[in-house]
Amino acid sequence: MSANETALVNVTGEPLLINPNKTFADVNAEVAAPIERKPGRLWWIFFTISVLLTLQFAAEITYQIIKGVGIWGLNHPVGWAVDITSFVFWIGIGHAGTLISAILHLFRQRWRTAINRSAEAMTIFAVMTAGLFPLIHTGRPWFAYWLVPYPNWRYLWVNFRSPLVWDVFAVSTYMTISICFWYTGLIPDFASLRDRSTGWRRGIYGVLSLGWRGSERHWQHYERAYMMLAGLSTPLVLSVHSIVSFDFATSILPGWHTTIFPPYFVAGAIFSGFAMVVTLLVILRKVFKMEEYITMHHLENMNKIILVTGMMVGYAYATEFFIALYSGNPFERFVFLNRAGGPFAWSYWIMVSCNVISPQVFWFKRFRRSLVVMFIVSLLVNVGMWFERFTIIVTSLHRDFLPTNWSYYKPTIFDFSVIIGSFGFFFMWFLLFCRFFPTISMAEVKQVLWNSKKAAGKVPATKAEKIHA
Amino acid sequence: MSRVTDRPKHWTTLPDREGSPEVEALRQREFLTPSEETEHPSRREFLKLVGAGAAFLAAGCARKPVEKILPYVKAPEEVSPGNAVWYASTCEECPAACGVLIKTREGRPIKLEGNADHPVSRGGLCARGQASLLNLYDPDRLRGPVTVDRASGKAQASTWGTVDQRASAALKGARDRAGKVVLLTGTLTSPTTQALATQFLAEYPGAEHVIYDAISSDAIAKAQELSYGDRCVPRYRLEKADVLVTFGADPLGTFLSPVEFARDFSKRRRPESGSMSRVIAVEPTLSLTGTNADQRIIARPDHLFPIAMAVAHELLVRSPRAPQAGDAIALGAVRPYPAATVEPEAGLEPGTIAALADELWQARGKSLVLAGPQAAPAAHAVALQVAANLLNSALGNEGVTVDAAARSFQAAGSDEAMLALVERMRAGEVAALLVHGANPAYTLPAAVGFAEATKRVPFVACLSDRVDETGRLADLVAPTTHYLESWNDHAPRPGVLSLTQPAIAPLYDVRSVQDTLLAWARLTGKGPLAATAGAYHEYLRERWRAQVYPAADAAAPFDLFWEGALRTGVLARGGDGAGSGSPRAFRGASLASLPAPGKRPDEGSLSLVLYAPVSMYDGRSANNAWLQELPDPVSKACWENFAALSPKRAKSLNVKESTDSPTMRCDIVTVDVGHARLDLPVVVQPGLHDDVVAVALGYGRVAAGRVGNKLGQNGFALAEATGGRVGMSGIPARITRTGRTGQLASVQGHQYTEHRPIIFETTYGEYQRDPQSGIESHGHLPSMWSRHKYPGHKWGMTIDLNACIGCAACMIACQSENNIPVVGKSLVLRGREMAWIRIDRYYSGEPEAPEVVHQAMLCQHCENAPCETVCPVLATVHSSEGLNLQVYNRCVGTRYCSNNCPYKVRRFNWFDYSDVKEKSLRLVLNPDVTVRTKGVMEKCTFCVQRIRDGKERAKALGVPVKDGDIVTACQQSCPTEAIVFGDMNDPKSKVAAMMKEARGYHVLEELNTLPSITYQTKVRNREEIPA
Repeated sequence: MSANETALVNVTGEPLLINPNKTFADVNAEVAAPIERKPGRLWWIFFTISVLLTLQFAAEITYQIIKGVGIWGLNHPVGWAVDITSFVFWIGIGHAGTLISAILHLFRQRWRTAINRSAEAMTIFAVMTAGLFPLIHTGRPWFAYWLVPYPNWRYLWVNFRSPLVWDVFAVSTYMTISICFWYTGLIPDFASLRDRSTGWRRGIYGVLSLGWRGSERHWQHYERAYMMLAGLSTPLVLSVHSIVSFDFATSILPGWHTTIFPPYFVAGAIFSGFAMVVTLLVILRKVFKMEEYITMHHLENMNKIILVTGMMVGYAYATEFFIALYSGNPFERFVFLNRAGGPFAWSYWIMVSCNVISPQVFWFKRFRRSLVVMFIVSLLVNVGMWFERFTIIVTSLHRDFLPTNWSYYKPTIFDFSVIIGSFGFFFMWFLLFCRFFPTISMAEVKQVLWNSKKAAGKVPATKAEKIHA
Repeated sequence: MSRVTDRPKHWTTLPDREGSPEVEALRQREFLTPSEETEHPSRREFLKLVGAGAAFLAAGCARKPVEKILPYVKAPEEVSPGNAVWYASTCEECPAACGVLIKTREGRPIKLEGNADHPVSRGGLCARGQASLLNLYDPDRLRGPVTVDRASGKAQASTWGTVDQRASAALKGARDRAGKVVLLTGTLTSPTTQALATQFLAEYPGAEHVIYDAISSDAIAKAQELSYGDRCVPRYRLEKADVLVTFGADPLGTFLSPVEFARDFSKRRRPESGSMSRVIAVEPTLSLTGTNADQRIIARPDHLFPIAMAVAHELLVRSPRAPQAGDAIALGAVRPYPAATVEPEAGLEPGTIAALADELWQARGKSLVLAGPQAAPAAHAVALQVAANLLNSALGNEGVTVDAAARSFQAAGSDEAMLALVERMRAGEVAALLVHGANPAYTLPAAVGFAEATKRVPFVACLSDRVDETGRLADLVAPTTHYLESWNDHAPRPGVLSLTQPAIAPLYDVRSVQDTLLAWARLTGKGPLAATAGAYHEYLRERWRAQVYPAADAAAPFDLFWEGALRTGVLARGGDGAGSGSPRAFRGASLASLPAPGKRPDEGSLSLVLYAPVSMYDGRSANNAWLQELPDPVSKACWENFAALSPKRAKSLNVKESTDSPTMRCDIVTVDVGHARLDLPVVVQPGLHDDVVAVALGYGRVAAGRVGNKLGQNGFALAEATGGRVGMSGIPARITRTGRTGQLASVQGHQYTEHRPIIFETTYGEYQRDPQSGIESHGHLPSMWSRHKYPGHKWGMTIDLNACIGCAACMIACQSENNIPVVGKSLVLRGREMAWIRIDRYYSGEPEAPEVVHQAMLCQHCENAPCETVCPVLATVHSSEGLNLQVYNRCVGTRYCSNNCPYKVRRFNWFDYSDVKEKSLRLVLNPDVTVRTKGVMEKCTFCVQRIRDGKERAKALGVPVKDGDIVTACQQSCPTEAIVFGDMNDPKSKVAAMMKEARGYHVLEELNTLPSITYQTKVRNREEIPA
């Protein structure tokens, strides 16, 4: 986009979301390009690394199933550490997708169009990754299906009072809705890909597009279904992480047992999710040359959300601390003083500096629009949010009620293995997604493109608009 | 359509397609064999796992291999599968000779319990006694006789014929050349074995039976001889003492007869009874007794004697009260020790000694001064005992709390005899040495040179269950049976005679020591034993027929009498209540030879104290993993010993330990006593004298077995032998830093309660004003929910913190009863110990002189159990009888229950601990208790198997369950009866009565978990609570 075109604004007074000089065919061609050409060297490098990390993850899991969870650094008071930390972390990452797709859709935030596809994909892969952790963290993963209430001749049932069972429902519901939502959005684009491709690809995209022909009726049903799914997903944004936070909030452990957790977790999840979207998009737009679709404007908007949610999270930290000191509960008070000054103070201060301090640079437009700054901040936020969950879980456990039980947590190489393995697993899927699915919603971009063209005066006004004028 | 056979074979990964053996193996197995230790996989293994990991996802399931079980072909008459058979016997782990009941299942002993009818132990059994069961199944026991190459110490399997021939030839040779034959044993409490030994030696002119105890009470016997003309170790009667003053003695820990002392001690520690004894410990280290004392006077080992004399000075000179005040020799002896001199010397507050003397005087005839036989430096050891004798006589305790009539036979060892024997060996005067029940090559100070001396002995035979350190110096080792495989009798004191009977046939080709002596005597063929026939069992029976039976004055014929004795396990003659009543006259002359007042050692030099720890004692059971993993009751460290230093001294030496910090690293220091030095990790021990470094004995074995070898360092090496006595205390030592650090496995993360509502304590004075004093209760805690209903039983427990001495007997009892695995040092370091019941030890007050409380902590069986609500699969549920049940089969292993348990009493199977490689160790498992697999949570069940058993028995008889029918393992073994279990719904039950007592409280009550365990406050018998 040249300078004078960026100066143009659309009807809402915002900058144009896309270059009005592009044609619809350009959109199809450019978005589909990564799918239709052989992947580049950069993609192969990333993909190879991800697959290798995934393989070592599989090896770790295999070894762990053979030997026992004891290969991790867990111990007597610290029953959860990297496992549940990573679970909550990845579930949190998954939050941005739903927020961008559903809530921004309902609020008619059209700038979401360029990013919602990849954010939704990120959601699905993040939830897939997250879902591994409750499985492998158990002592006997081969019996993990017992957490699902299924009829059986032994009349065994789950404990509906346990937040872990709530998790099963919350996460699986979230996963289901996210996949439906994502897939629904993909249907018109699959049809476009079908129309552009030949051979077996045409067959596969043909099946995936469910016979989409772009008729008026199709569009009507599509828009309605999409709207309804958005409506269904919206409460999930709040519910999933609220329920995940119940794992802690409904326990009696000081540092876990607090009522602030649901909103605090949701804010944190959105925060980390947006940070991950920024991380991914900064790479994606570079690797697949999507700068014209994922514009600086998009990224800046997301950075604003990071700034806001970062401060919400910071506020939650402060509130938690204040209430702990104000409540007069000696156990609670100790846990928080121990967080900030105990043996895990390093983790607490990593969390505070990454999550509260680092996003403050986004007060400045220059930094909001700097790819380097936003990439670094988004990585820091991801690190910080991982450590937030680590701090909550480990510092509360390692020094709880009876001082004789106090201990420390030291990770083993296997703990590191699952952390990097989960990233490998996530990126492997994301890279495959980039290769085979349109990373940007072509259909929605075309709608935005129309608006841009209009704002730029490239299309004649409709009759209704003329009358209005 | 192509033909079916042309269908492609589907494969997912290359390993899958190629079908490597690893992949094939994975396909064949449903469960993959795990092991308990974490090792990081090697590169090769890692690559294998990468491949296997991929294949794992693709491979299907296969059936487990078929394992057949077979019933008895000919069932033994007395065994009905599933029912326990009990035998009464006597514990031989130490010479205290406590009565035990052996629980056998399908012919194998699986549990030891104290015999309530036995007058010494009265139902309790200590940790080592409980753990001695595991020694039976020790895979490192000798499985047959061996000959040893003396030069290399290597053992060579042999046969009994060879060994017997060789021994008898050597003995014959010694006899024919009039060489000296020496039998060296530990204390033998068995009169029959003693008689047999005497008869065995009778054929050898000049033969000698030397008795040697590594942890010796010799100084007591020697001092008794000096003071009363009667060499004995008297019976100390703690239950009659209103005031107990110990001088470095640890009667509750390892001194002489700990179970007996603990039981007697606890009788006087229930404030509800209307009186309470007062315990004052004068000691350099923090002993188990010290942790339970009402007052501790911290003094260096070389000051114990002057302090004792200064107390006598108060009674005899300063304000003459005692009868000995007229004794010129006594006066002359105590005169150099006025309190005014001793107190500043010993660093005591002025007035301490006068107060001590007054307190003792007020309780005269009802007090007891008990001095540790090895608490003072070797030069003072006897003198300290003489001083104690003087005090006891002066206070009129002689004949009352110091009972020579009911003297103890539990320690007969003589340092002098042992050291003289080494001298004689060195001089080449010993022709044959037979060693049994002693390991002098390990326990004698290196400076004595036992190993060198054995080289001058032509024939050395060891009668032992393994080739131990002494066995390596011998010509042959004749393997002995475990006491659970043997016949014997024991007389721990006059009037008490108990039997040891085998509960299982010898597991290996081994022979009891008595049978070996009989066999050798018959082969040499000249002594009184040569004419005998039959095994030791016959010998024992015949001796009882000839000597015990007539004295017992029984109406029944001998066979019935014998069976009766076997059934009860013990014959007790005479009452237990009275002392001798007639005090022996104290010989003032014994004071004449006391050493002159010692000089203060030069500044900077430390005083080394070697002590016998509760778990290892003298190292005899160092190969016992239960004991190795049993945390020391005071330091809470396990698996090795360490150098304990006071906080101040550690600071001045600039050494650090951080067993409760993230690193768990300790500086390693060199403890140098001149003739020997050891590198040991440091533990900063509150309550230790600043000039003292304390090192536990019993570690650093090199020939104990695969478990016990090379754990810690051998403290005996630092001991000194001077003046015919082995000194364990007050040895001048220097400490230097090595600059290295090591990790010490400690099970307790923090040593103070941080003012949390965990321990409540009061003083006896406060208690008398308000029995509820000390308890901070929040009164009624509101709840949204209605309480659980318990229509039938409701099981509950009380634990009296005032009775709990921290001896850890309950921990081993629980381990044995509930098949609790041992995890090893590396996993204890990682916080993975599995104990269902543990003893939390908290300090309070200043680190220089802390007060201590022990708290047994186990599953509280909460009514509102936090663990139950969070388990997603209902693997932990509440029973209608108030039990918090753990369903292992249902457990998925989320560990959420443990995270949510405020007491953190749940234990997780991080690895497969059930896969015990050594098959003999599997025999020790209790078949009534599930062996837990990898990945499941476990915890205290209140011995649910015992509850079931009790209920089923009552049901079979058609009667309701009586209070006391069901006893948990921890309660059973508790020597102080601190643990009471029963039905809270039964108003007549003991537990219900105890719960009504004013001292009861719940730990962390304000969480409203409503535990089923009520703790009773710790009551200290001192006036005010220090600020």
